[in-house]
Amino acid sequence: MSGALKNSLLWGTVVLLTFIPLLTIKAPGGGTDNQAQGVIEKLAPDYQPWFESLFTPDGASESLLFALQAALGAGVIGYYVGSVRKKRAATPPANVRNRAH
Amino acid sequence: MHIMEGFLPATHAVTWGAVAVVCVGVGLRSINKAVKKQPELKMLIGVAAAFTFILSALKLPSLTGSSSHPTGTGLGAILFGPLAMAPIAAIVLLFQAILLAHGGLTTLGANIFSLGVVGPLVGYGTYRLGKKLALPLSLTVFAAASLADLATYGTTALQLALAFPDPLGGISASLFKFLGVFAVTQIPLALGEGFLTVLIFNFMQKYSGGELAQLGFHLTRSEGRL
Repeated sequence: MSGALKNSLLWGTVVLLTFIPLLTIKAPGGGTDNQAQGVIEKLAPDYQPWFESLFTPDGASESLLFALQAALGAGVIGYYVGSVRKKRAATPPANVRNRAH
Repeated sequence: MHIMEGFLPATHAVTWGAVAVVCVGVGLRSINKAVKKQPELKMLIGVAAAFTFILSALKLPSLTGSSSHPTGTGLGAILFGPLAMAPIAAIVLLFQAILLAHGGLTTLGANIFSLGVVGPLVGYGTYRLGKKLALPLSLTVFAAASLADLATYGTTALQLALAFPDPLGGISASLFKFLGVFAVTQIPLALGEGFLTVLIFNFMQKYSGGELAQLGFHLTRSEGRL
């Protein structure tokens, strides 16, 4: 199997794993972090959290900040992809170089 | 894997905090040493950090109906060893604790330990094992990244079980309950993370083969392709 085909199959699997639940699940169960909090409240009903988050963003700002975090990462990876591709394009392939001598 | 702010008793919070400080310190030293020896690796460390930034920002729905985060730490652990990821995880978790109310400052140590220490250790161990057994490189990378993801969530479940034992069944019964929350939901996400890690690793092989060779990846021609 060629590398490109394998890569496309891998991308396809990742996309399916993400979108099948989005399309099929009608009643989302919420995040696991919150569910764990629910289990704690059942196991230790008397437990009082002794510290509160200093700052809690509302829903829209939360999405924005998560997107910002992902964008920072994507920017760095995009820079890396661009720079190595450019470097590769600037260096002629080995067989071409050999012929020149 | 984010234990919420205030949801670990103070003794646990302090203990995990101390463990995390040591791990982050050792990790910083290992990164410094690697970069001093081979400055050209800076870019790849940045890529490993960026990969964790992206993946841990994604809150993805899983086939179980709940949603959870991938971790992204397997890639860096494979490339730079298990220690290098602790400082990177610390940065991500600090960002999320302060600005997103995701995780917390009192639970930062415990969360660094699961995301930045145990996950990468398991990922690195899996990678070494796969290499020893001469498994195909893609399969090894896939298994290392997926298991690193699962190990992080297993660790969170254990940390919570230690802090909140079941009144009847003790720590093991409590662990079972927390694993019930995390484990099944995490499996499809861990598989997805494994596939994504193979994709970015393939790209690095193609375009950063020289740097990977410096890191000890002696790629044969068949391994150089997927």
